[in-house]
Amino acid sequence: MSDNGTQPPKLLLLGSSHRTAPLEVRERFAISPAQLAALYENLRERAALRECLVLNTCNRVEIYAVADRDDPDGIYEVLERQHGIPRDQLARYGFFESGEAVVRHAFAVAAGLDSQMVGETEILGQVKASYTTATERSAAGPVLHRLFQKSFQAAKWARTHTQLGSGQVSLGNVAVDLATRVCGDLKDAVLLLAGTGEAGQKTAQALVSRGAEQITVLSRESARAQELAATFNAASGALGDLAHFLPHADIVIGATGAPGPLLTADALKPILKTRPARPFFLIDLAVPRNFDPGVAKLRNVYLYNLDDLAEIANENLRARLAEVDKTKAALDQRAAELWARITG
Amino acid sequence: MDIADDRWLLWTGSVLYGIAFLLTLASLKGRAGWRAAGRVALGAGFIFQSLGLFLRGLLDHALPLTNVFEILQAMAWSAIALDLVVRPLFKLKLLNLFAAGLAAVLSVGSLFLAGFDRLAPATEPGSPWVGFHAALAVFSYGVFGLLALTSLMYIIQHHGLEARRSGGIFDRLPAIRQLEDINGRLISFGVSVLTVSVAVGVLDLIAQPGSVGWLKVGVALAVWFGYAVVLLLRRFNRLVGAPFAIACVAMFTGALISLWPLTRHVEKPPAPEAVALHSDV
Repeated sequence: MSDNGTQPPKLLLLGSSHRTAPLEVRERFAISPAQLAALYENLRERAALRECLVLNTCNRVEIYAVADRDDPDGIYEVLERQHGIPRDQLARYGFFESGEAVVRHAFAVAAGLDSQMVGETEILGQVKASYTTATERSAAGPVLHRLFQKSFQAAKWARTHTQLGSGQVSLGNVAVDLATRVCGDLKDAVLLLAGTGEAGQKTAQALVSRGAEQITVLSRESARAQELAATFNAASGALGDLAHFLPHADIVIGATGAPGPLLTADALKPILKTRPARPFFLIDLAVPRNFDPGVAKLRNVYLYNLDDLAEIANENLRARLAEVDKTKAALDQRAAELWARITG
Repeated sequence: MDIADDRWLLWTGSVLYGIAFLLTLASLKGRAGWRAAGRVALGAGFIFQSLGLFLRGLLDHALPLTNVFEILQAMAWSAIALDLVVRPLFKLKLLNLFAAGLAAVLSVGSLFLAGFDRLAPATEPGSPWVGFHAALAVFSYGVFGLLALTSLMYIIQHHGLEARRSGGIFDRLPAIRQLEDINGRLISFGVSVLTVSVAVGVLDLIAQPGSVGWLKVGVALAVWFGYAVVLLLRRFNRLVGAPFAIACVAMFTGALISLWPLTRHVEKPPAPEAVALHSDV
């Protein structure tokens, strides 16, 4: 395919990602939203690209381009002169692809195969947002339109036909899945967050993002509890009042730095008698543990500690990784077909 | 093949239940379209079975409950009817799978065992209350069948959570809390229906002493008493969670076994005129 009917377009990709660059280097390569408009302009005018698309996330900066020549010199020059990314640094911590390899890479990225957390879906949204930006700036032309539309289809295919995205691989999301299996709709569940540690915050945030609304944050420091509660639009209370809040709770996250257990089986037994046959989900993220392991023996109580969550996350990750080769082979086949149509 | 033949209709319904079960099972492997196909098969199976039972019922002008075959068919029908109402109402995932499986086992099993479909000897028309009693009893068995299914789902989900298992069927089953809730409603409903049925039966027995054998009366009362005890223990929070679910599965197994003494009086060789009426049995 060619704009003028004589010369087929050259598809190029210049980028840097978590696979080629450490975090401190990626920080230097990152393109701010304010710089993006200028970058598109410079790429179109100074690098003389027919089409271009910038994919800019925390894990990657990639420039997809359609040019008359199979040469990234113009892109290197723009990045170095206009945006302060040294050419030698980019050559060392980046990568350059052309032709069918670019199609393969785009498919892999959209499907989450190239992500740090293999199979994650956030990247597809980021690719779609980048495509929208490129389209709005009239930077994407017929080749990139085709490439990215097909990338979205490939990502959807991978999601529905492989186990690449099955199971959660972060502790917070594993906890959310388990909470959903115990309590159902999280909107109806009462969540108690004991402690203001980072692990507890992240898990509570994951539960909130899946619908949890009735939250109380308990801490020894009331100011800290109030501050964190404000971020969740939640209530706050003193950790010493835990027993008062427990009868109404469905999910309790233990994330305090307490040296001994906050909750023992003997303390929980009378509380269980005060509530109807409602299941109790306890998530112990603390080390040393906040909940005595004996509480798991009580009827209708499900207790998961850090190791339990990590084991499930690792198992899910192993299942995802087992799908990588199969998915990659299928996507490469689709990429080859698309490249044949583009150049045919 | 006579498409107006009730056994043909019941066969078709049973096979469709089996297909619905297999399609829904296959949909667990990520083939979403198969789940929809399973629902269609389940709905179609229900229509065929309803027509089959309707044709049978025309002979007696009542719900056909004269032998083990018809009782099992009516139980399967009740379970599916309840599933079609309860599943969307309470958004119980996978209930179709379990309900279709139960209905397929009950209905195909009843069709394979030809001895189950012996006709009852011709009798004088009895009190309409007896028919009402039998219909309510079988309907309550359908409720208890569904309760056994939701209890089985509870046991599987509970076991998965206890054993730290995730993915697969565990992520697709309803939540423990949902199942606990629906189990509470189903046992209350089932016991209520069975209580009315037993009361009607007892009143009829008082009006016509000796019309029913003591074995049948004893077994019917034992099933009712068993479920009533389970309900009361639950109400007082003495039997909740997994032990309650296990009790419900065990009770339904016992209730199924109790069909033998409950229907024993009709397990007699068919009367010649009855054979003439149903030559394919």
